[in-house]
Parts: sequence; structure tokens; C-alpha cells
Amino acid sequence: MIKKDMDNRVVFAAVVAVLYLFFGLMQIVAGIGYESGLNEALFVPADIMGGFMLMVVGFIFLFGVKELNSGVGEGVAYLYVGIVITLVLAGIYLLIMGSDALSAYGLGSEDFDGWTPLDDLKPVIYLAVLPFLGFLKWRGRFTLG
Amino acid sequence: MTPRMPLTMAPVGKECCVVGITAGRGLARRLMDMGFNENVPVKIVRSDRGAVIVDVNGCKFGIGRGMAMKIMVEECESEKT
Amino acid sequence: MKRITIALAGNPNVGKTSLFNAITGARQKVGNWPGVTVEKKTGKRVFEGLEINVVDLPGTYSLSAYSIDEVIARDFIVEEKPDVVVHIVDATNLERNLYLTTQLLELGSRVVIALNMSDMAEKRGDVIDTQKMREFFETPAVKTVGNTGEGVENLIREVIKEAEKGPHHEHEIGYGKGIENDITRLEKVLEEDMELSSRYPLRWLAIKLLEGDERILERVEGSPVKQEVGEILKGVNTEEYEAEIADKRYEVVNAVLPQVCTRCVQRFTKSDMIDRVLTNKYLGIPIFLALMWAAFELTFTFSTPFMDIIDTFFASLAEGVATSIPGLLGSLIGNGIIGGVGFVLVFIPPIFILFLLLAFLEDSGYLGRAAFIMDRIMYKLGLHGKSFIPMLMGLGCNVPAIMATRSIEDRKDRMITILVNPFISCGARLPVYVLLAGAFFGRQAGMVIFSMYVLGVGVAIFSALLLRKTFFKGTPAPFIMELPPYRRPTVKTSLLHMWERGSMYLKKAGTIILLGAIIVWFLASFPSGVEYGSEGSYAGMLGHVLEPLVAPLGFDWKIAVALLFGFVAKEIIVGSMGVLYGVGEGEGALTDALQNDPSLFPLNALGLMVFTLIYMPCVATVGVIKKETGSWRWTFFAIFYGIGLAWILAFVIYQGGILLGYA
Repeated sequence: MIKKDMDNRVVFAAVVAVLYLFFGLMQIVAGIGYESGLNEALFVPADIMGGFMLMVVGFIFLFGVKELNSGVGEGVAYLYVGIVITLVLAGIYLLIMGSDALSAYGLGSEDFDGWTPLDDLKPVIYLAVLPFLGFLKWRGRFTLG
Repeated sequence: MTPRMPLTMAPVGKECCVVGITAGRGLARRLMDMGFNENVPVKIVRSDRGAVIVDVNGCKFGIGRGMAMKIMVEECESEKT
Repeated sequence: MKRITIALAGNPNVGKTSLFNAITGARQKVGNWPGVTVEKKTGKRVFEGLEINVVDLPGTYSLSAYSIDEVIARDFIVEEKPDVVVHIVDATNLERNLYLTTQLLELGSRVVIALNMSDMAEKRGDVIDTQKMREFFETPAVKTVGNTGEGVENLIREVIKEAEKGPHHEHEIGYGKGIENDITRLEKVLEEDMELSSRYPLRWLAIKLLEGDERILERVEGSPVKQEVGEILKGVNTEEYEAEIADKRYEVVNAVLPQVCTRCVQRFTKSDMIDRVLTNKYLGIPIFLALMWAAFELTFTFSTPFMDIIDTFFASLAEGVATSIPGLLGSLIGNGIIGGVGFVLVFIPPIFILFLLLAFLEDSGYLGRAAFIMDRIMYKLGLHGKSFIPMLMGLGCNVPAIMATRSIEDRKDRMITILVNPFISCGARLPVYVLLAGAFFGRQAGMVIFSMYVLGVGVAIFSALLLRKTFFKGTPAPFIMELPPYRRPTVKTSLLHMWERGSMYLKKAGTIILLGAIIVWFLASFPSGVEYGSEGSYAGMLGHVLEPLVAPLGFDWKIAVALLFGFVAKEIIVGSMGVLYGVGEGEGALTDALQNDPSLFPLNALGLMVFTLIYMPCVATVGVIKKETGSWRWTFFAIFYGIGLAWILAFVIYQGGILLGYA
């Protein structure tokens, strides 16, 4: 495994970890009641369980960083699984957005008056862009180092 | 690797061999059927407070602590005929 | 049409089910093996003018007498003597699988080996020589891929060819001088018993006796040659022999293996990598919880539009029918049947989606890891790791969940799991929560509903501990579970699994709930001339009789009746309330009616939700409990314990709430 590649991955993992941990924390805090204008701008919902979800992902990548940094090649496993999980979660919430869209536009259901897709946009969806890029870049190369 | 220890204490990643099963007949038989025979190489994939995941000839098993304590292993003899 | 019977045997997790499906297509039947609660699957396939009956034997690692599954498999082969036994082998794990092969061959059946999952073996770089396999085992070997159906036709052809060879083909393994001597001695003695020797291969009998096989020993007990057999066995240490015999079998397998398969090496696989993360000491459980939460959110939001569609459809259908067909019949079909059942069908989307997601988790191999991770916690609660999966399924419907407990071997573990399962809040109770929480708790509704689920789990755990301390003393059986490698679940197989479980819910809806809805309608419509669902109807009168029992809980006669009907199926509770309050199924109308009822307020609504959660399981569940436990005693226990506990909790909530000033 080329050292440079490894370094890239560590940085990548670290960035992803920080992002998810941060947003996760924001969601939890908002869930308890402390919101700020920042939340609205970034589409952060007040959602304790959702925040927990994000933080778990963050920790997965964090573990990956820890292992890779101390030279344990198998640490890439955390990246691999982490990326899959972020994509799965993003996919799930996109599906949720889709079904809400169905309720709103397709059925004209009254609970959904004035709903727009942006109502369902959350960090769990857009934060997954970064892992997705990682997935594209390193797709074939998740072997053991 | 010191001789004879229960599976719970065996080091991760290293291959060891089953030397005995200290369990009742039914349990011992069951383990045997699943492949935990004497001198069968067993590789510990993960070990966590006693519960282990092992690899026996390509097959993975999750074994709870109680069970793992009853499977005795030791370093494999180098060559079998 | 000429007909043959074949049996499918093999280790668990080798893809037997998908191969069974590939062979039989949709033509299969599920029943029970006589006298036991193990499932029996049979199917048919017509191939080139020949009718093939296929019997799916339980998955087993060997053919000893230690578990019901093994006994069933073995008895079927020995007694029913199928024309061919198809031994389904996991091609990626030959060594362990071939152990069973040796035993099948000793039974003297005609065997065809199906090397299933050969696509995965090839991907790994393993090359299996089927010709050599045929030589060594004296049986044909066919490569198959159960998921796609590849190789199945070849398999069937080989099976037919083998069947035509006629019965009885014994394959011998040499067990070493000492054992062979004893085998010969036993064979000579057993020969004398006409009955035994005509039914079973002598050598096999001898070997089983030397292994100390309990069932065979029982058989011999009734035999005239019992004495002589006993004499020979006296000098034999069966435990030692058992181990030696097993050893010899493995020796054979190990000798044959390298010649039959090149590159069958074990490598550090992707699965190991994934396990590193998913079974990580600290991350394992949180990851599981996070995935579960996302799955639930998906289940409930995704099903909403579909539920709405179904709801409106049935509501207008009921309306239309009730108005267009005059009189009693119209009311029966409209309000009673369509209204009642339609209401239940509304809940199909969440239940099926939940089962689909569970199927994905199961088929990908993750659920096994989840059980492994949870085992530690489960152990402390007096449960077995495997109990975890039925409890998860209980969130959809308790009926398939309790049936899933069959995979738990230890009787006590299984009983406890079955008895506490009804406390896991199933899909049927959700309408009650949604209605009540929505009407009385406004913005907090979501939290309240969630806490019902948590309470359910809590009560289940409490009851499990209680049962452990009292009736089922002991500790959970040791946990050992095979963890098949992760694989990408195919949409087809997952849908099949979803259907297997979800269809039980549908059957329940189609039968019991339909009946229940009719009964409700009947009691609400008579005596004739009375207003539908009013106090004057039988339903109302029944309610007044029961009222004193539930008054301390803050419930009135309407609720009493609804709960009574809820015994049939908990979904009916809401429907009944709709009837009793004189409003239609329309959610809005019922919510308003409830809110306007002065005798209902958040406190007893909460009590009602708790009562619904805990009181006796619905009829369908009771039926399954009786079937799986085989005991009326425990079934009644489940019912009365549930009612008792529910009553106490609702009482505490209501009276306690009043004391604390919440009413």
C-alpha cells in the first residue's frame, strides 16, 4: 500500500469523522432544546436519535483514523464499512423524502400542505457526498494492506 | 504460546488447535459435528471479553463466553500425516 | 405419471431453501413433521414427464440423535427411503459439509451432491473437480447456484439417473481394527433380528450402537437380540468410540479434499474486515441501534402514503356499500366487514416493509452478528442471544416472531422467549397508540408512542427475569452460532422472506379479524332497531357488565367493550371504538369524538395505551403460543399474566396520576 494513499485516507477519514460528529452533536443539542440560527441555515433538525446516528458514524471513522495512524493496515475496514453505512443512511432518508413527496404531490394529502423537498433535507443526506466521493475514488482498492 | 488454554484466552489472529472440550456429551458432540474436532486448526478472528468469533476451515462461528470457556486449545503441532 | 421422491439434506446455511425453491418453483407446501413443532416443507416438480416429490429436511450438521432436527432428517431417510437424497453442500466450505456426506453415504441412500454457491467458490478461486468427487464418493456431484437457479436442471437430471439405479448402495469407511471388530460382532447379532435387519443397514446400526446413539439403543431395547447386543456394548466405551469415529470421518474428508479441490484455502476475507467494524467492542451495539432507528423511520414514513391510499379506498368503499345496499345486509358488509377488515389492511405497508428490512438484514448475514453482539446483554437478562431475533420480529407481528423461536435449541430459553414475546409492541397495537396519543398528547404524541415501545421491551425483560427466577431456573444455553459470510441479499430472496412472514399477518387478517369484525358488527347492531353501537345494543350491554372491572382504571363501558373485542385482534380496538362512539372509521371524526368525551383525558388515555400494550395476546398469538409450547398451562399463563400485569399497571397509572393531580 502506497504511503501517500494511506495518508490521503487518514485525512479523509478524519475530515468525515469531524463533520459527522459535529453535526450529530448539533442535532442532539437541538433536540434537547438549544437551537440557533445556524441550524436553520444548515437544515439541521432537532432530532436526538438522528444526531446519535450521525455521531455513531463519526466514531466509526474516528476508529479508522486511530488504527490507520498507528499503522494498522486493517483500519481501512472502518472506512469501508463507514462509507457503506453513510451511503445506506443517506439512501434511506432520500427514500423518506421521496415518500413524503408522494404524499404531498401525488396525493395532495392535507398533512403535507406547503411541503417542499427541502423540508426533508438533512445533514445525513448531504454529508454523505464526501464519503461518496471517497467511494468512487477508492472503490476497487479496499484490499488488505 | 503456553499450553492448554480455553478459547476465551487464546490470542487473536493466531492459529491454534482444539485439544479438548470440557462439556457434556450433547454439547461436545454438537461442537464436533460443527467441525471442532481435535487438532483442527482454529483461528480467532475477534475476541471480546470472552465471546469470540472464530474461523474453522473457512467457516465462521460466533461463540458466547460460556461456550468458549469449554473449548481448550493449544499451539498446533506442526505436521500431521 | 411415474413418480419419485427425493429429500434435500445439508448443513444449515447452505442455501437449501433457495435450491428447494429453484427446484419446486411455487409448488410447495409447508406443514409440520408429525408430533413435533419442526416445519416440514414439501414440493413438487414435473420434469420431462416424471413427477418428483421433494421433501426439504431440516438443516443439520450430522445425523446423530442429539437434536430433533437430526432425528427427523435421519428417520425420514431411513424409514421413508426416498429414491434419492440430494445432499446440498456449501462449495465454499467443503470440509465441514463433507462430514455430513460421509454419514449419508453410510446410511445406504442414493446420494447426489449439489455443490451450491459454486459461484462464490469460483470467485474465491477455488476449483472443484466434480469428476474426482464422483470417483471418491461414488456419487455424482453437480455445481449449482441456488440463488439464480443455475445448474438446477443438471441436478435434476443426475437425480433421475441416480434414482433409476435402484435402491441400496452402501459406502464404507474403515474405522480401524478395534471398531471394525466390534462392528462385525454386532452385525452378526443384529442379523438375527428380522425386523431390524430388514429396515436398517446392519453396518449402520452397528456403528450407531457403538456411538451410543440413544434412539437406536431404544430401538434395540425392544428387540429379541437385546441381550447379546448388551453384552457386546458392555465392554465398549461409547464416548471414546464416538470421538474416534468422528475423527475417522474427518480423516477421510481431509484425505479426499485436496484431491477434489484445488486452492481451497482460507483467506482473510472481506467478511472478516466488515466484522472488525460491526462486531467491534464499542461500536457494535451503537451501529446496530443506529441502523434500527433508520429502518424504523423508513418503515413509518414510507408506508404513510400507501396507508393513506388504502385507508381512503376502504373508507369510501365501505360508505358506498353501506348506502347502496339497503338495510341490514348493507350495514353488515359495509360497516362490519369492509370497515373492520379494511382498517386492518391499512396496516399492511408498515408490517411488510418492516419484514422486508428484516429480511435484508437476515439475508446479508448481519442479523447473526447482531445476535452475537447482543448475546452478552441477553445473557444477563436470562435470555439467549438467539432470542433476540424473534423479539425484533415481534415489532411487526408476534405470530411469525414466536414461530421464529424454533431456532432456539434449549427448551427453557425457548419457553421464556415465547412467553415474553407478546409484550413486544406489535404492529396491531400501533393504531391504538396513534389514535389516543394523537388525540390527547398533541405534539408529544411521537414521544409517547415511542415510550410505549420502550415500555414493552422493559416489561418483556422484567418478565423474562421473573420467569428465570421462578419457573425456569437455570442459565441460558451456551451460545454458538455459525456466521455465514456477508453476502449481498438478492431482492428476490428477501421479498420471499418478507412474504413468508407477512403472509401470516394477512392470514390472520383474512380469517380471525374478519370473524371478529363480523361479531363486533353483530353485537353492535342487535337487538334490532337499536342504534348502531349504542348503549342499547348487545355490545353496550356487555360493556356495562364489564364496566365495574375497569372503572378503577378510569375506563368506561365503551372502552371495556373495545378491549374485549381486542382479544380477537388488537387492531379491532380502534374499529370498535369507532362503532361505539357512533362515528365512522375516519380518523378525524373518531379523534374528535374521543376528545369531546368528558370521561377521556390524557391520563386514562395513557392507561389505556399501556393496558392495550400488555394485556393478553390476541387470539392468533394465543393460538401460536399453544402450538409452539404444546401446553395449555403455559398458554393460559400467558393470557392471565398479561391481563393481571396490564390491570395493575393501568391502575397504578390512573390512580397514581389522580393522586399526583394529573386528572
